[in-house]
Amino acid sequence: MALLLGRAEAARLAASPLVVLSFAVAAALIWWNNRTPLPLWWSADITIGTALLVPAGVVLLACQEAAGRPRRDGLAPLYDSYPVSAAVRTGGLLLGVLGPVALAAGVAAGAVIWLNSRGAIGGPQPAVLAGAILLVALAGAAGVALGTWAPRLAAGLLTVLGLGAIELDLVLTYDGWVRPHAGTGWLFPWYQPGSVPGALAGISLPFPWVAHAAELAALTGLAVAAALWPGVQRRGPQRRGPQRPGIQRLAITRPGIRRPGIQQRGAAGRGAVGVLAAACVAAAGWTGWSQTRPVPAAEVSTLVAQTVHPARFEQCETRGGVRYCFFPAFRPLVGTWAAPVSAILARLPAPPRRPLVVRQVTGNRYQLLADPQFGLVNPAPDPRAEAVLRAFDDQTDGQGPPPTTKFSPSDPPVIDSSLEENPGGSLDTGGLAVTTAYWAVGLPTTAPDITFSNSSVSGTYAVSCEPVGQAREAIALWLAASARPGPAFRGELTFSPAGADAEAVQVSGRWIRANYLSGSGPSVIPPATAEGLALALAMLRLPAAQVTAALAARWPAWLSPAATDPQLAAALGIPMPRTPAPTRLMIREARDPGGPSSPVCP
Amino acid sequence: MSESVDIGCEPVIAARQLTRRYGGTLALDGVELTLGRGVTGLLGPNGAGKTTLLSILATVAAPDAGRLSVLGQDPADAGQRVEIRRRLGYLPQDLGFHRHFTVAAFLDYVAILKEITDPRRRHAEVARVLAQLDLAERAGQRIRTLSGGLRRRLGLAQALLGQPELLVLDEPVAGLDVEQRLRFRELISGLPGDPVVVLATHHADDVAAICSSVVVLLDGRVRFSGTPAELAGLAAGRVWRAAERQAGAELSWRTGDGQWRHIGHEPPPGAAVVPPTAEDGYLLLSGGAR
Repeated sequence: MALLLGRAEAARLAASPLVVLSFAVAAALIWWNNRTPLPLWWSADITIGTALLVPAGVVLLACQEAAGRPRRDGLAPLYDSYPVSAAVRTGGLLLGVLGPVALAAGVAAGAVIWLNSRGAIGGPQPAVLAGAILLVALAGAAGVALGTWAPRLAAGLLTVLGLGAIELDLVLTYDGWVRPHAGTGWLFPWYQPGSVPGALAGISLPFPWVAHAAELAALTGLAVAAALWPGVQRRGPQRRGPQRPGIQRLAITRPGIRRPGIQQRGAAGRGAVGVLAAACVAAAGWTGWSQTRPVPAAEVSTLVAQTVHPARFEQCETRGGVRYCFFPAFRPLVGTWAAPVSAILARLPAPPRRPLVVRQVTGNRYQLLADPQFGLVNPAPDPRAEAVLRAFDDQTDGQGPPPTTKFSPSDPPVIDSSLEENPGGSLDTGGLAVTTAYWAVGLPTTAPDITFSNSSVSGTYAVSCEPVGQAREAIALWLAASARPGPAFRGELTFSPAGADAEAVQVSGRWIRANYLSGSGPSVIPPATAEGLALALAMLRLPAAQVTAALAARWPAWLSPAATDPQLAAALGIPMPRTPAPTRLMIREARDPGGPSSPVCP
Repeated sequence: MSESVDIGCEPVIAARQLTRRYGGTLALDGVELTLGRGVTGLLGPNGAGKTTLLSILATVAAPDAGRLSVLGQDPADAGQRVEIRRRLGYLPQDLGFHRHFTVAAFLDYVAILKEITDPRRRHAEVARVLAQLDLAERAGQRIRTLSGGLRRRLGLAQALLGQPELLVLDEPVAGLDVEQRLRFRELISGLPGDPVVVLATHHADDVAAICSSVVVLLDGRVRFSGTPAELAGLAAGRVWRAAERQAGAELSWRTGDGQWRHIGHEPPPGAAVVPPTAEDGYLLLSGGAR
């Protein structure tokens, strides 16, 4: 009977325009949060749960409305005259929650299919998706419980508004209205820990999603018990009749009434519900406690090792003579990386003398610091996350590779996967193309650390060199641009050297005009000099065969630091483009104006 | 008059010393009642205990003291109470509705609550009561759009779902227009299976028209139990018809033909005795004609 009622209630809930609309909103939110060209599963799955908060709130309201319906509509006496008991009716309402839960599962499944079809990196965490669906189950059960105890619609509205305000703070992570203590964030229905998992390439911080899903399940069970309690507690027909103002109900014995059956069955029902409630309280308490515990040291060590020693965790495969090493989740992207790399190598007049290895790295420390949950923005940082950061610092101290002390042209290109998803949402393979081209012409792709101090600044700086006047810079830029034709990268190269995007860079004590190109991170690409950029643009306007022939004629010579831009222009038969000097404003607004000067690339 | 009267040869409802209090107010004061098959009308002024008695018969309220048997079952026992409910149709006096349900959806939901599990049978049953109450054309209409009379008919429809053996109807014709009241009489008279019907009403003429027996409840006690003819008989020789109003009459009113109808103990001058109705008997019994 409860199943039959459950089916009817499920159909009613699932067909409710508000419920359907809320799931449509959730689907739209999932699309909005994952519309970037490169969806990452370790953040996408969390956004699915966050989006399902909307239908969860509506389902809570709808279930509260349904459970409170008989009392609110004055039908309780009539319902009591039916053979189906109050407990069974409540059971039906609870089973009816499966309707919205099925919708939630459908939305989640649809999101999984959609994101996978778009080549999302990694895979969804089952515990996160389970938690997302449990959100709706918990909301429905809580709504039934609330409606059973407090049938007025205002009770549901106030509950949703209160929880919603807290959830907004927990999801948006910035200083909000309610400000729950950051350390207790995991105890609320949903917690979106900033952008950390999305920014960490393939490496998820050990967030307690399994414990959280278990907590949600336990809370759902507790709500079920709370909903069933009034039904099993009733011992029979109520002393209900015409209500008259001023008449108080008194407890009166019923000497002539025998009801042993009621007592026995009621006791069994109360016992079962009591056991369920006790078990759920214990489970919710334990899982809640476990979510506030520090991250185990072993898990932090793994995180550190993934960052400091990526090779231990990466897979490698060779394509076109180039070895690509990547975190396993990124295998689908190898083809994307190989396209510009192979195109650049194919345009070289002579093959490189060294084998090329493209390695993926990640910058966890940077991302940890940049994330608001980790203390820089949020006024009440998550102590659990702070502990991870401290442990991360302690463990990474001295574990990394020794700092670079000289310019090395032999460093292979790397892909900083923490920047794979740039703010604009486009893939940053342009950085890989430029780095590969720099490597191919023998330009350094790393920046050594130098210690510097003067009257205004002091410290250790990573300083890249500048190939001022060197023909190989223009060749590298031409290789990168012609090997990776596309609006994004051409957009970088079509910056006018005299335009507003130019900056002033200090090289060996004098200021030159330069443009920062896409791609940075561990593979430091120096800003392109205005002269090199202008010459590369002129080369792009020539037929590719003409440029290739000119380069092939004196290839080893062009790779020399001594080969100049004017020489290259002359070899191509074009005049050397003129570029203006940096303005005073540029110099005043230059990065690290008092910092160390860049050397000319050796 | 008797407080314990057997009606019919096969008692379906038997109440012994039923007592029910609401705070300091005694709603039922040792009610003794035995009802058999047929339609029983329950008459009484407001506050007489009719609704309390019907809610106890419908198993939604319990007496503070006394014993009760309904359809051979003891409502004090959980299992037997469910058995009664399976065979019961109940229309409370103040019936609310799920305003956003459609008529058909509400009846379908009630049918589930009445354990009509087979979908085809349930749909057929809903269609049957919709047709019986002349609501078929409004099946898809939301309840909030129905008038008071239509809602009352919907209340009757839910009570009739499942063809119950016992119908407990509290003020079933309240809010119905004259035509619908007459249709109600037709409906109750034509119910299949000879169910037991207990209905509370303020309309003595309805009782006289369709009830095989009548119970008058005053101040929580049964003051009369018998047939409508017997109730009318209580006023035999005390109802007169005259051309003038007589100041000493206990109750008098001018009828449509200009004549005055008097109820009392002393005949007015020049009055002619007329046959009494059940209403006259009830008025005399309840003190309305004192």
